[in-house]
Amino acid sequence: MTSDAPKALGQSLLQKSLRKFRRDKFGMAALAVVAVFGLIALGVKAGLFCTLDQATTPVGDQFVKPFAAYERRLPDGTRAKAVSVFGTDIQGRDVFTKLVYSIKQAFAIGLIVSVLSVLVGVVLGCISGYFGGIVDDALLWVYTAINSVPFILWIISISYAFGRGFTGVVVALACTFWVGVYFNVRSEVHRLKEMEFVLASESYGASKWSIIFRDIVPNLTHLIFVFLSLDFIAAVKNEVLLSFLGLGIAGEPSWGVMIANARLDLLAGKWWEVTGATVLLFILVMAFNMLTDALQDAFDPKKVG
Amino acid sequence: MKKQTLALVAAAALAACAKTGGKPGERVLEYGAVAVAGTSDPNQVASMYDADLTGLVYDALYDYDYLARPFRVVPALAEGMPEVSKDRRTYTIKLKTGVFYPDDACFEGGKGREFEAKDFVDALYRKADPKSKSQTWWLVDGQFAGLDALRKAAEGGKDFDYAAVLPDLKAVDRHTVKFTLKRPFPQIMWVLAKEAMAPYPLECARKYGEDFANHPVGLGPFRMLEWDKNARYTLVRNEKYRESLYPSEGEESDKAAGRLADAGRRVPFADKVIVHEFSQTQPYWLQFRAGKFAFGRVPGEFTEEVFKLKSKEGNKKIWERDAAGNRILTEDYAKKYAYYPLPLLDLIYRGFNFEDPIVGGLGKGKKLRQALSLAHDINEENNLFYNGLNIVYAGIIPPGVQGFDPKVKSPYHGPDLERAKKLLAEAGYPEGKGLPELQECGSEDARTVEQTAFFIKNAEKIGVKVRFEGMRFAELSKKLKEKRCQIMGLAWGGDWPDAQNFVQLAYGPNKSPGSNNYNYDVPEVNKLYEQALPMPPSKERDVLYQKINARILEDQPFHGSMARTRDYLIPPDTLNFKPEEMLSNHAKYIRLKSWGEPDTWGTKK
Amino acid sequence: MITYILRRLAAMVPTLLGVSILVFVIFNVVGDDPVYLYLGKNASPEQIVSLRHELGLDKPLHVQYLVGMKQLLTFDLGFSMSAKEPIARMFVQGIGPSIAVTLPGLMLYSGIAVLLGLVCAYWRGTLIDKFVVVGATCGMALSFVAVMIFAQYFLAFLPSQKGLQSFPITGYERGFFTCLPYILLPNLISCFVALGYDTRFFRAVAVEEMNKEYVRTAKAYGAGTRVILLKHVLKNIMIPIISRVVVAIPFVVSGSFLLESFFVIPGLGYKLLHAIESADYPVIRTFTMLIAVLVVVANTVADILNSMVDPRVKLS
Repeated sequence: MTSDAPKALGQSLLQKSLRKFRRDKFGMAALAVVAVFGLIALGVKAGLFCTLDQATTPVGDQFVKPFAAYERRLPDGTRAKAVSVFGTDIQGRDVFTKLVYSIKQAFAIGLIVSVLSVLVGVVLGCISGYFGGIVDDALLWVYTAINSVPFILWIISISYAFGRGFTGVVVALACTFWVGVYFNVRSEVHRLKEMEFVLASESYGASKWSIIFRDIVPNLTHLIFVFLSLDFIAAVKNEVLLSFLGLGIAGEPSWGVMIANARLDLLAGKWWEVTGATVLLFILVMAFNMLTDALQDAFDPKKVG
Repeated sequence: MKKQTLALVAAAALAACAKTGGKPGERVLEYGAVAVAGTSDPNQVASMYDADLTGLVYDALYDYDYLARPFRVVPALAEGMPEVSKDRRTYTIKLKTGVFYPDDACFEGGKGREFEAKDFVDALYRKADPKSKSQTWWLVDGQFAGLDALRKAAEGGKDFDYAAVLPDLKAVDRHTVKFTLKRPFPQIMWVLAKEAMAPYPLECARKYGEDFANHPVGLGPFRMLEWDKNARYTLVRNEKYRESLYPSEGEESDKAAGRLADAGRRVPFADKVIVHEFSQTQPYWLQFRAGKFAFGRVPGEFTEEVFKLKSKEGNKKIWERDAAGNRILTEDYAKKYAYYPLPLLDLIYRGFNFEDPIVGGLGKGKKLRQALSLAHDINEENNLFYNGLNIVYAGIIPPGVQGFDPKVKSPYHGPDLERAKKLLAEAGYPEGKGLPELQECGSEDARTVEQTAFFIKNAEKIGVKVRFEGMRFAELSKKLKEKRCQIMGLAWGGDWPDAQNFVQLAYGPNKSPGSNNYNYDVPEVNKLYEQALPMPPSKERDVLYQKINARILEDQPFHGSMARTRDYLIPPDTLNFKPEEMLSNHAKYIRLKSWGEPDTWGTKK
Repeated sequence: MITYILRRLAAMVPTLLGVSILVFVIFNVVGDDPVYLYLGKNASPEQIVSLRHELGLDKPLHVQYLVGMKQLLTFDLGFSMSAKEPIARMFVQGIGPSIAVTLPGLMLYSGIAVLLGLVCAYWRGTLIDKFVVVGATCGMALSFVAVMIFAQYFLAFLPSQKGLQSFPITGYERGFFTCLPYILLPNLISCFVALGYDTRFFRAVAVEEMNKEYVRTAKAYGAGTRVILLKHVLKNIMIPIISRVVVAIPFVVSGSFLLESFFVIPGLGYKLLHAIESADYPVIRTFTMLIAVLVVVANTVADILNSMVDPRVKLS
């Protein structure tokens, strides 16, 4: 037997999981929705659907109702009759454009935060779980400290300290979310460490790092997927919360800013901006929730049989 | 079964929320504020809302005449107007006798003692004591040589010498105060009328320490009964309140509105005052509309609901107006309320840090500032964010104070993109080339963010890039005080109704950490200001101030300016209410019709 | 048991030390200086220096940290510069509203969630189950902020616009009965938002339990639905239920940040948020430490309860 064997085992597990996942109708539907959102986000990033400039330039008078006729301001300064898609906001910017642009924002925050926190969590979790000793004690100490205060408090505190804006939001969320990944990875590594294939690799004299990367990390796939998905949702939802507290992204539209800022407008009967953002956010998070469930079902080694 | 009980509890609870208030027969005055008071310590008064509370529980030596406009100062704890020396530096003030503090545990035996001249001096000593962390020291900073020296001596953690007797600020006898100013300062009467200058027993401030902020012991018309921080404070009538009578003179409009019916009656009329504090406008507004409050202010977002809109031209709202030029209430509101518009003495401006190497100075920076002002459309800003209701004016002196000249127009009033681009090129940045991204500081609330975004868009039109840094108030204050903001959107609310309080914002020595947050410092302006400082409001002073104003308009250390108008709605049950935000003790004068005629308090001696 | 509790208490020390260091770093090294906020619009340079001295902000960082810790340990909580109140009083005043605004909701949604979880588990795979699961997922997908905004708009604002008696828009009155109208809506909202998570959790727990041998046996012996659910399953899933509720209690104290600031309820969350906004470190320090202690204690209690309900759970 060579040290390739466990990898092969991992692969077959992965294939099995993928097959199981493909059979999950809800999961596939959720994936499709996420994919559509993702494509739009990519498109926005590439400047296809709308640019930041378009999302922040007034196109008409303030507070035009959805589907109402209005005079659209064209880039050359003239005006033309048009029908609004989803109304305009306080400055006369197109709400639909803002909503679409915000998809990119949501993905930017969701992806950066989830990738960062999963990366940090997995690396530290592996180190902690595999090497043990002082490093493990120290990391566990930090974990316990962070974990014994509700996350929301850390998120608010850190983003206050770092200041408003994209960086502040990302730093605050990533600094807090990694601990969940860390602890789960650590316990999983503890379990894997005692597994036959790891012991085998060790007896073959494979280096510790190669064991971590070749034997252990591939077996964390399910955790990684699930946490990427979970942290993505949590990041997008927390962005709304931070915006509500005045700590969101400045200068660029985002669902959080739209929901938080349009609160006053809603009371004055201008319902479209906050509703649009809420609905889109709902669809995306719903899809991600279902996707997480499906991933959990399909990739959890305990359930794949 | 379970569900049923739940529903019952809910119903009972909902019924209970109908009305708070007092015992039957008690005359309770309730109103709301869209902000939270932090302190009632005259030493710490920082916001208008602190002042509103402090003004009800403390009495100063002087007070604003409740009805007179233009404003007039009248004696409160003082017996009469001060006796002023020829050189206008020495003031002798006789105080009322037989005025007693309310009973409080901080007095010997718990009985309130008589108010004395020493209390006024002690209160100023406490302001000067660095250990007391006073927020209101600036009111007297630099006015009395002796007090300045005492403060200096106590700096660096040393004990303040409360026993010191100063020649230029002292109690001559038990009921006379005498002080000498370093130089004549005609605004001193406004200062003496401020809540923050109210006397109080030093022993009480000492006994309660920092908690004195929550435990006022003053001579005001009301006493603190209960303060649920961030929710409401409840005051009761101070039974020992000195005799204070409702004014018997006022403007023509006061007579017409029935605000003189109670002339000569003893105030206050209310037994109890409950002030509900809100941190958001909509609940405030709904509670007002539910009939809970004796008066209300219309929040901006509900303006369209309250006033008749004639038409819209683009974003410009054209309001229907009556013969006097006031807006008209919609039928629903007209049935229930009277409308009282109150123009505020406000300066809303966007400042440029005068010490900044790029936007500051009198060279390239000046052209850049002028270009940015020309690129901006302040009228549209007014339309978008203030329903077009602000008064846009030129310069530093707002309408409503003597010295304001409506004929003055700003030479850099935008939008004029052609001229802006030309000036930008002259500044050395054709189409913005070579100009780094500029930074604007502001608070992080939703409206400020939107408003700044609008300016940023306008700056972009001539190729200038501006980045917004929204921050919470602590950080903003720090950045401003450390001169680390390039551009800043700010507002100044007047401390007293005199042009000096606004013009001082352009005085060099007042720059950060003082009130001149944009650090404008031009020798000529400083000289003019110093020349005008000892002058009472007069034609001569107006000329000097207009010179300063013209220079500011040319240099554009800030662009603006706007002043808000506050819309007050008054239900018919509320009598005697005359809105004015320069003074803070309306509750003393208000009477509700539903209370019936004023009781014996109103007539007895 | 006693040694176990002692050991857990001892383990609390390093944890609290970690929390205090993290909080200190965030607010004193990264965060900003509150001095300017306290001095108002006309501050002079001398005033700034003297206030910094007064607050001890001119001392080296480690000294600042140690001084703060000493104050905490001697229960000398001090005075809040931003709230202008003794910190101890802030806590006493704030705890009541915080509990009122979240604890009933917590009880309510835990109860409902257990019920729904049992129902789903029993009728697993049927329409009822699917309906509840989808509903729970929907609830989880809603943004808390949006729920608050819309609930306030539709349940409180619109009815009162129309002159109907309804929930108060915001506010709070102290007193057991007088506070009821004010806390109803916030509790309903937290209930609505949290229900999804808990239902799914308890459903999973119950499903696992339903698959066990004894349930099948009971079914085979013809035991009624009610008996199986309430007598056997519920009894056996008490452990996860209790520990989840107990562990959630500390969040009652702090987790109501949003509700309290949105509905202007002067609870701990609201006060803490204000303190964070004004960089009032002494307040933040005290509150976070208290919350951390609560969390640790709650976890310990949950573990002990678990061991009492189920002797199979060992305290280690």
